[in-house]
Parts: sequence; structure tokens; C-alpha cells
Amino acid sequence: MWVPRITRVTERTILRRERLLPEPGEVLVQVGDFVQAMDVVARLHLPSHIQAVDVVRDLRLRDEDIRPYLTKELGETVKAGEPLAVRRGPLGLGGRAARAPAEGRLWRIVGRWVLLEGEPRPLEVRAYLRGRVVRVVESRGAVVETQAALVEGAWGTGGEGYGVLKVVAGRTDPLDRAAVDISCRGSVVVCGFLDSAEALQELAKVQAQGVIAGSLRARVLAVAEEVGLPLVVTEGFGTAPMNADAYALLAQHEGDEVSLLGCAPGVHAQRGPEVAIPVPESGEPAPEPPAGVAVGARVRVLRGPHMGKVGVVQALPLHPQPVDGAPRWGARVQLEGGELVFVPWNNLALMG
Amino acid sequence: MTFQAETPKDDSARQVGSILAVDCGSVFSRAILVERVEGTYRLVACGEALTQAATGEEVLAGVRRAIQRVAEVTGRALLSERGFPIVPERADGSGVDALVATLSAPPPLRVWLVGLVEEQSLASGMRACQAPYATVCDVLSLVDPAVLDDVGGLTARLQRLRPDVVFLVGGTEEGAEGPIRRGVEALSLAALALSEEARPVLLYGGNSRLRQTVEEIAGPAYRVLAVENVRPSAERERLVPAQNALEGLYLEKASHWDPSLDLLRSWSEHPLQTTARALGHTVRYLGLQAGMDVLAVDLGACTTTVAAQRGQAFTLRSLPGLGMGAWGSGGPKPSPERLALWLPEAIAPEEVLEVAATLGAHPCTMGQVGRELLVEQALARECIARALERAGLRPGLPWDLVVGCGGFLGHLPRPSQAALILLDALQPVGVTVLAVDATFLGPALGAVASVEPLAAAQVLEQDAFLKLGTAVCLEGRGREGDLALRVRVRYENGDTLGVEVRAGTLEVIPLALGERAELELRPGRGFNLGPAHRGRTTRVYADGGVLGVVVDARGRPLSLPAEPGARRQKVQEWHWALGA
Repeated sequence: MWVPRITRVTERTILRRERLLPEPGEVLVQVGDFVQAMDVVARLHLPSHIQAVDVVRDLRLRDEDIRPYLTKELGETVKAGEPLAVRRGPLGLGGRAARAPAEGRLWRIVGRWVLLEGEPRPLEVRAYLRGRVVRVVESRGAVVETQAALVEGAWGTGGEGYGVLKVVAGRTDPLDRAAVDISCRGSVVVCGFLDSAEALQELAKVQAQGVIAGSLRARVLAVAEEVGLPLVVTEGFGTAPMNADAYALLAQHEGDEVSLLGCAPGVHAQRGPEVAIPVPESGEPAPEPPAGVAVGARVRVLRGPHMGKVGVVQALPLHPQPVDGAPRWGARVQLEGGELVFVPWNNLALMG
Repeated sequence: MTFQAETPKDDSARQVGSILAVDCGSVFSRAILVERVEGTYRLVACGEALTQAATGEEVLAGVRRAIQRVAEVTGRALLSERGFPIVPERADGSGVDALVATLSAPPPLRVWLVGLVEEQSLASGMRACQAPYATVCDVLSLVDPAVLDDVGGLTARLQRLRPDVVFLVGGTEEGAEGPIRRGVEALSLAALALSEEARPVLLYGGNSRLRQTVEEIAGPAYRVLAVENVRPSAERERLVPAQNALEGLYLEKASHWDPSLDLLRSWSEHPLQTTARALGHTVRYLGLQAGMDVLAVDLGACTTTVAAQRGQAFTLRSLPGLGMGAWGSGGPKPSPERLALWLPEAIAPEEVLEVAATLGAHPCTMGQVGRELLVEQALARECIARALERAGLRPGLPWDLVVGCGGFLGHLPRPSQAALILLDALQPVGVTVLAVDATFLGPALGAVASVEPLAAAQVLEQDAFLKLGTAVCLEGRGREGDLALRVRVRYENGDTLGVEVRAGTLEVIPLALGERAELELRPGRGFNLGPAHRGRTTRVYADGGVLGVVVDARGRPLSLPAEPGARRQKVQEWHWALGA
């Protein structure tokens, strides 16, 4: 049996997200800590503005043992033009100096070289989710866990964002420029689809924190990538409305804090576009994701004339069915509104 | 098309009765079962599954699902209860004697190419980076001494690019050593700004006299690998060792990307191969064994691979970021104007982009309505044409066999659509057998050959690609409606058929799958059948296919009317002519 793509749209699941530095650094949290989405869980200082000084060349030394000539210790700061190493000539005459080309800190000594470091560049990783630290990865970061409502998206851009959910347009409606005002500041706004570059630019101007839309018109794409606002689309490109389940879930949580990740999907990414809304912990086990397709399964149509529609599997035909003249395996689905259609497996996603 | 298989002298000595070949692709995973049936290896079943059904799922899950599909079809247990393949085959018929695996799912290997002269070592270095699944993320020339002094700049570049490999080339065998020595020093200092685990591998493919020096200087900062100089002299190039090293590093990186791939490696006693390399083996075998010029294009979701054997020359090029679903994952965006060239009806540029982008967001999906299909097929033409160009093979070359591989071409509603895509994008000249490989046989058999060459040869001969038909493609140009080719068909049952094909048209002549016919071809004024058929009249034997014989009298290079309405009408006529 074919296992279709699974799209999580669920009121409650246990989310665990690894929050790791790309290189070893300092972890600022411990197991059991409660963190807010914006809290920094790990940080490192990337060496930056490195300057290399060839001491052997500058002092005209014959061997590479430069340590006897150094006038500064590791970690000390030097000003531009200040000597780092000095070789005195006979009777104190004709000496030579290796000087710092710019202000910095003596970072490393490697063979004939002294490396100076400018102001280090901080790199921080935030918790992303409001939740609890359940594991610390030594020198790299932590795993944050929370119970959350989750909507997985189809595409996104702009990276991570955090804000308060605000519904500004209906499930089938575009984001109207007129609906964007100062009340959107700090919000992650929800709309049916995006077809106005002006509305997006205005959202960035009023410092909205993100957008969740059913789909995105191609004409808006360049602006969406340019403004850098975290954006998640649930269906794809065009004017397809947001699927009913996702919209209802987001509307139900209007006013709640939300974390979103706007990124392109794909097997090369370990995570896909998503919207997570932390919910109060419940003693009941979270519903399991759907394991396989069966009659009664809730599904979403990914492509074709019914893109974005949600339905229920009514039958699993034993034989392929004709679609545009070609035999295709798939399921017979009753869509919202009652229409009964056949959809090839590739174009269906299980929901739950 | 005949694939000659060598029969072993001692047939009884062979022990491998069944082979399972699996492929872990970026969107789909596939499995095929090859088994010895009455003394001959045959394709028994194939299965396909999504590599990742859910975000974050380990990619081996998709391989397991594909194997399970084969198990369902054959009724033969192939996986143990713990999800491991059953190898070797058991007395109760479960399991297989051998398993081979190919891989293209991991992201491409990011290579920072550093060298000396642009036209010399860097040019050769770029060609060496045409290894399967390698992509050049930046190029740096060390010719400018300011670059060598700017360790801070190199550090920032390393931190920004995060390459998997720094590929250092430069210096002929007799060339100057100073710039390379200083370059290695600067790169080594720059690497100290990265933690040890974040540092790339330094692959050295420059002046071999400096190999030891490079290892001594760079050793404390990098893991250093050395290969033969890619440009030993101004006139010579040596690319294969570097390409093999890059391919090895890609496979090595795979385990870091998804640890479950280590398990895939452990499933087989045969080395894991890249999908592109395995396809290359099959194409090379076909070309050399049968003395044919063979071109295979594997149009994938994230990568397009071109494998060609032309005379003694072999070309293998995989192009990450060029694929049907690459649009949504940051790949090069197709221009709607280019795609519009192949559309038989007017579709707004924005809609064209939206279809392509939605396919990128859901690369496992298939177009379901006419306009979606038309845009997807236009995108396929564009990907194939671009891949051919980047592989250094121009359109308009004569090929004996052209194979379109990959799920998109294999799953099109009508085989005629695949044929028209291949003809439009590749524009072959002369007499060419067109085929599609919907079941991943091309790469799979390349991998199977590493276990049992006879199995690969026999399956290729008997169960291989779906033959679309024989294309007779004319070079040259003529006035629309003029006679381009006079064809006389002599069928095996003695029947004959005469057909006159007009310039600017496509014509299909019936010749069923499994049948053969003699074609007498007489090109009209201004047309010819390419260098292999220079005479006024040519006689060839043609294989049938699901389409028959397709005569392409549109001329080469293919030219489309400039006026959009006339162009759409012409494209529509060609679609109708082939039933596409």
C-alpha cells in the first residue's frame, strides 16, 4: 500500500526541536528549565576580522621560533601600529618590529604567524518554542519540548518568527493592504492568500512578525523574499485558499503566541515550514500522526483542480483510475461540500 | 536496439540467484528485484515510495517502503520483522542473495574551488567539479597577492560559505611553487577560525611536487586528501582522480547528513554508489558493448543527470539544482518566457511560474489538469536542454539510443508526451531509438552489474526500457510544406507503405512494439539524415515501439515562429501529430 505524504495539522502534539549552534559554544540552559521562544539557549563568538602578521618576515628571523621576540601575551589587546614582536639589533641599534595592522586581540600563534582577532561576532540560538529544556547537547545547545498545536506548511521564506496570532482575512480572501495597520505590530497575521506586494511591505513597515497564508501569487514572491518577514504558505502558489482545517485551527488560537518557521521544503532540509502554537499541557496523550491511509482518513489535495481542499477517503479502488487519459492509483475522496472525486496518491496528503 | 549479453563459460559456477537493487532518491526511493528464472535473469518486480512521508523522517524509511512494495507484489518476504533486508535468500523463498544500493538523496557536496590562473588550473578545476552531486559554491584565484595577505577575508569566506571541501588546484608539474605554498598557508590560518569539526576537507589537486609540503602546512588545520594534478601541463588535463575523490566525499558526507544511511551501507557487502555513477555504468556498457552512441537523461526532482557514451568518449554530469522540483528549493528559477516557447496555448507568465513553484513545494505531485501538465512538460524540456548544454553536449547530435529516465518522464499520461519532450529538448539527428526508463532500471542495473554483470546484461536485453519507437530526424531546412522525406516501409510480413513527410511537420508511421521493419529513406532538397547517412537514399532497420516510427521533419536546429500566436499553433500541431 502506498504511504502518502503526511501533513500535520493537529490541535495538540508533542514538539521537540533541537536548537544547536553550528560550532561548539556556550550552553546557557539546563535540563528542566522553562524557556520562552525568544530566550537565548546557546551562544558562541565567531572569530572575526582576523589579521595575520608574519613575524619571521617582519623581523627577518632565520628560524620560526618567534616566541622570544613577542612583546604581548595571548589575549592582550594591541592598537593599530603597536609592536607585537621586536628584535633588537647589536648594541641596541638597527632593531626591527612586527606591528599590528589594526586594533585587535592576540588570538593565536601559529608557526611564524601571530593572529589578531577583531571584535568577535556573536552567534546566538534562541529557544524558538515556549517550553521546557529536555536535553542539553554539550557545547552545542539544547532540545526544547512543548505541547503545541501544529500546522505544517508547503513553502516558506524569512526564517524563524514569533508573535501573537491575528486573523486579518477570511480563508479564501487575499490580504488587503487596508487591513494592515499598527494593530499588526508584533503579530503573525493570517490570511487566505497573498497577492499584494504593498500589503507585505506595509506589514514589514509596521513591524509585524510574520505571515501565514494559504498561497502566494508569483508576482509577490520577490517582495516576500526581499522583505525578509517570516512567511509560511500552507498550500502552494496561486490563489488557492488555506485548507479549512488549518484555518480553523489558527482562527481558534487568535491572540495566542505562535512560533513559525519560513523555509523552503525538501528532503535536503531537516525541518520544513511550520507554525507551532504552544498549548497548556494536558494529561492526555497527544494524538498520533496518521500511520497509513484507510477509508475514513482525513486528507488534503496538494495539486490539481481541488488544490487546498480537505476531504475524507471514501474508497480505495482496487484498480488504477483514468486521470487525464492515464491510469493512476489513488483514492476516492469526498471533499468539503460533498463532491466525490478521485485523486492520485501523489497528489494527496494525510492530515492529522 | 539489441543488447548483447555475454554468456559465462561456466554457468553452473554462478551462485547469485536473486538481487535486490535499491535507490534512495531525494523525493522517491525505488527497489527492483532481479531473479534467475529458468537460467536467465529477469526483472521480477519494482516498487516505488516516497523517500520521506513526513518531515524529518529518516530517509531509510522510504527505501524500506519501496522494498515492502516489491514484497507485496511478489508475495515474498524481503524484510525481517526488525526491518532489515533478508540476505541471503532462505530455503522458504524469502530474501535475496545480494543487495546493492545507490544514493542521490543527500544535498550536493559544496566545493570551494581555489586555484591560480583562471584559464588554466581553475578551468580544469571547474571541470573536475563536474563530479556527480558536487556543486561549486565559490571560486577564488590566488594570483592576486592581496588575497593571500587577507587572512581575515578568507576566514569570513569560510564562515559564510561553509563548504564541505576546499579544492585547491594550481601549478603545472614544472610550474612555480610560491603562490600555492602561500595559498596553503593562508587557507590553513583561515581554517583555524572554524572549530575542528566544522572544517572542510582540503582536497589538493595541484602541482604534485608540492603534495608533501601541502600536507605538512595544511595538516594541522585540515584533513588533507591529495589527488593527481588536474592540470599537469598547459596541454594536459587529468580530471578523473579528482572526480572520484569528490564522489567519495559525497558518499562520506551522506552519513553525516542522515545517520540512517550508514545502515543502508551496512545492508550490502557491495559498496554504495551514487545513482548517477550507476546510470553511467549502464550507459557505458550499452554504448561499448553494442557499439552505439547512447544518451541517457535522468530528469529528477532536484538533479538532472546526463550520461552519454559517444564512440570512446564517456560523459557523466549530474546537475544539482536543475530538476523538476528544484524551483521551490532555491534552484535556478525558470524564465516564463522560455517555458512559454513550448506551450501550445496561451498561459499567463504568472500562472506558468505558479505551476512550477507549486511543483517545487510538492515535488512528489503530478499535474492533473491540462494546463498544469503543459507547463510541467515545458519545464521538463527546459531542464533537459539546459542539462545537455551544461554537460557539454549540444543539441542536434546523432544518437543511436536516447533514454529518458526518472519518474516524471516515466509517469506522463501518454508515452508520446515523453517522446516529444525528448525530441524537442535534445533535437537528435538521424535514426534514433527513443525509450523511457520509468522503473529506475538504468541506475539499478549499473549497480547490479557490480554483483553479477550477466544479470545486468540479460535484464537489459529482455526487460529494459520501454521503447517509444524509432525517430527519424532530419537536419537542414526547407520551405514549409515542401517534401522533406520520402519513406518506404517494408514490414516483416511483406507489406509495404509509402509516406511523404512535409517540411516543418512530425509524422507517425505505425510499427508496433516488438516488430521490425526496413525503412528506405530519401531526404528532399535541403534535408539530410546527418553524417552517418550521407547518401541520397538510406536503408535502415527500425524497431517498433508504443508510438511506432516518428519522422521529425522540423529541421535542425529546431526553430519556432517568433509570433506567439503562430508559435502556439505550430506547437499544438506537433502535439496533435504525436497524440501528445
